Amino acid sequence: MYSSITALSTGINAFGSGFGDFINATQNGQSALITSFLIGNNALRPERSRENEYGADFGFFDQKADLGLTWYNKRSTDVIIAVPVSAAQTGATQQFANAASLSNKGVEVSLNVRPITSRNVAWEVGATYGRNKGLVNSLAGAQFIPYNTEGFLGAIGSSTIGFAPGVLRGLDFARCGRGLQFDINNDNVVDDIDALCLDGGPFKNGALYLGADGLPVVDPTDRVIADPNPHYTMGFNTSVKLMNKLTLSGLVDVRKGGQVWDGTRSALLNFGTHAETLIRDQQGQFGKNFLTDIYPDVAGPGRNVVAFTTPNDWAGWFQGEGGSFGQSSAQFIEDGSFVKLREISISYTLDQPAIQRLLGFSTVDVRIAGRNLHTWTKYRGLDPEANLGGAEFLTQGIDFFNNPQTRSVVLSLNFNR
Amino acid sequence: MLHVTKLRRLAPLAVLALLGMAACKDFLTAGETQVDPNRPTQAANRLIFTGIQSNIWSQLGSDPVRVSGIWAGQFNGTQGQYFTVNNYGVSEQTTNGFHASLYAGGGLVDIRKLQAASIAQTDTLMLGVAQVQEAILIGTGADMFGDLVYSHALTGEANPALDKQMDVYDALTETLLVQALANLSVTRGGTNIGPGAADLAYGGDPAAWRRLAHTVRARIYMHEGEVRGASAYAKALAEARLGLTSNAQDFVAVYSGASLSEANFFFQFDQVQRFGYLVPNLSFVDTLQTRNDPRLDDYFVEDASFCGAEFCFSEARDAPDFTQPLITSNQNLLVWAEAAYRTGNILEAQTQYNAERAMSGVPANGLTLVGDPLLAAILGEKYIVNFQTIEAWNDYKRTCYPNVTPNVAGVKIPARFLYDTGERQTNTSIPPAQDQPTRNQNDPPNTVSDGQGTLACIGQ
Repeated sequence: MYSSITALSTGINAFGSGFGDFINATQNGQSALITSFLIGNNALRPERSRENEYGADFGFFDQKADLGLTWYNKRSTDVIIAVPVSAAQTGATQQFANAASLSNKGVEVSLNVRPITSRNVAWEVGATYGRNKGLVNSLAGAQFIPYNTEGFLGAIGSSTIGFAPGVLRGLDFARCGRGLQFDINNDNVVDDIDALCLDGGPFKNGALYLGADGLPVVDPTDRVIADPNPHYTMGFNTSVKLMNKLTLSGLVDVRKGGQVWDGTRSALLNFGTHAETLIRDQQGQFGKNFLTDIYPDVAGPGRNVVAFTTPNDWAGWFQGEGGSFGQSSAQFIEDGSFVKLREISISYTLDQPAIQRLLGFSTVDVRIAGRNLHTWTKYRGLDPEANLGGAEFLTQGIDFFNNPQTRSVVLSLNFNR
Repeated sequence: MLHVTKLRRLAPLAVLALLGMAACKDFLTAGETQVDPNRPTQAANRLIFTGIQSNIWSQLGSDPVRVSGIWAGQFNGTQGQYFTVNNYGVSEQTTNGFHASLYAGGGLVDIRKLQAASIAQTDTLMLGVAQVQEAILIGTGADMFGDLVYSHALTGEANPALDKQMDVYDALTETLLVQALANLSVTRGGTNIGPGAADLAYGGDPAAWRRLAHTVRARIYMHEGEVRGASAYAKALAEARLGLTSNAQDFVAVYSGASLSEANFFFQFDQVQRFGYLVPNLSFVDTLQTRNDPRLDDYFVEDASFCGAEFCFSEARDAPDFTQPLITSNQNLLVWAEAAYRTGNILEAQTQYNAERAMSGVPANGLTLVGDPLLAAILGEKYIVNFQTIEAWNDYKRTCYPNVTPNVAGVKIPARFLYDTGERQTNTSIPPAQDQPTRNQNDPPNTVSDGQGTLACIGQ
């Protein structure tokens, strides 16, 4: 509260670095007060949002099929967030402001079909489809606002104009065809990357630039490197009930799109404990046998150069730019699409007179269910659904040693009097 | 008729509704929301002074010193982010927020508050002290980032423009520090009380602050030397003669060590937070060993249990209550010596060079050295006394002495920090990382290593 005023702070751990070495403003018995890093805003207005939602439910063929359709469009304006401000202008680093205007559009479709509804056999098949498109329309003059208190430097969630909320920003290696111009080696000469990419022949747009040593160079351009929001999600379920006693059911979840920063892999590469570091006994070359899924095309003077020949070469790479402390986070961005066999269950109802006689219950339901039985995905980490901060976190798509969803088999017995 | 009656009955309700709307309009900004009983909005001068003092300790003692020390060849970054820094990977994250600290709490915003309050209370000494604090902070910022928002800083104008680095230096040496020296010359008494006991380096002693002001001024003139040549060195010489000359006069950070939040930054980093990230550069250790230099044992210890490397920072320096020298008399004497050499005052150069050696417990080198060997001797001595300060890197950038071999073949040593992300995205005057210059205005690449004849400079 009190986000409209600017106050002084006692400056607890106010000075130092992100490595955790901090001192207080107060030292050696001498008290201190400093201007707060988060300043108030006297012109705050309430947030507003407007939502249009249309839906329809249809039943067909004497309720053997039903279809649900929903379309929504929500627009929020004057969203209050603590935005970064120019320290040189204001003497602070953050300020509350009516800074964002966002929209969310989406459709939800559900279809259920019951092909057989006889006395002894009941079969139902259902499918759902959902698609949400978020868009950041304006940010009070800023191009993007990072969620600095969440996630990781180098793969930081953000609201960026023209993208869905939550896209990750960071650095990539220099790519050809992006018109990049910067000083690669601090020699005080600005290098034209596209011109260098031509060294050794023409290049494909997006090809990874390789220097004469066969290694990529870090592009200092801060850019959007991943969108953790899925293109769409789908769910399929089916159940068959036989003789009113035996029920078989299954549930499959599908997510198309939704990129993930595999920070776990980056850290394990740094420590040399990831299975991919077993490549250390081989020679390695970009575009040929290393990171070809993320950087299929290469260009530049090093396009045919073997970059890694000894285990030490590999160690230097993984502990440096090729691991978690490297600057390029884009190399750890992977497609998080998946198909999951979410659940299969079988249940049977025992209602024989013997049950009543022996146990004193009218019926007993026996159910065995397996959850998260299998995942089909190209994602290299443990679980593309995992996220560091949980669902309430603004930043999604951060995989950093979080637990994957558990696979479980559940046996349950229900006794009904 | 019926309708009219109904409307009349509703009229009072409508008025109430309108009143309600009017009240709602400023419900976020009116009355109690403007006064937070738990947070003050005004502070006494000494409280503000102490906050600035802590920020300066951090700016001159925390991450910028470690990173620039790696680049100057005094430290090695062996793990984590420092491994990247060691390989000259520089990004907008490398500043670690230190650009913002120039302006935000404990920085220029509070310095300006302190100056305004000092003027209002006719505390001229406090005003002078705050002006020296400003010169230290902004001068260090200009060393790191080059062009800096300064004349437009905190004016409230959107996207404040950058001043050229040399213009920032000039504003500090020709205006701010001149005023500071005048203000610090006013006799103490009455309302004119200064920081007193809150000043943990000098106890509010105006003479001490005057010497520091001269030393800071000399230091900035030295930073201009590569571009402005003899005229800058002559000014540096004049100022250094009035600067710090004994260790009792050093500007230091005094850590109580009573808690982590009051502990020396090197201790916190090396021994508490990031064990083994930062270790001595062995070629620097070699230099001290070859010279049989007594500072070897002051700086380092041959005990792997301290950092995991062959040599580690000494127990005394990695202690929570180690008093960290920030701007020292040793540095000033050698600025004096170098400036004297650069302006042809050879005897004065030899004298101050030997005076500093005597202070450091190193035998005098007599008055025999002249020419390049004398310059190399001064710069070599300076490299040692600049240990754990940003001056090691500043001097290297200016002189290319010692002729450091870059850690990565084919790459030159970083010569500036990138502005941090927060400032770049909120101030369109700050260019994006890829468009920022490689070197600062005061620092064209050196072709030769100073004091070594025609020996080509490797790292620039």
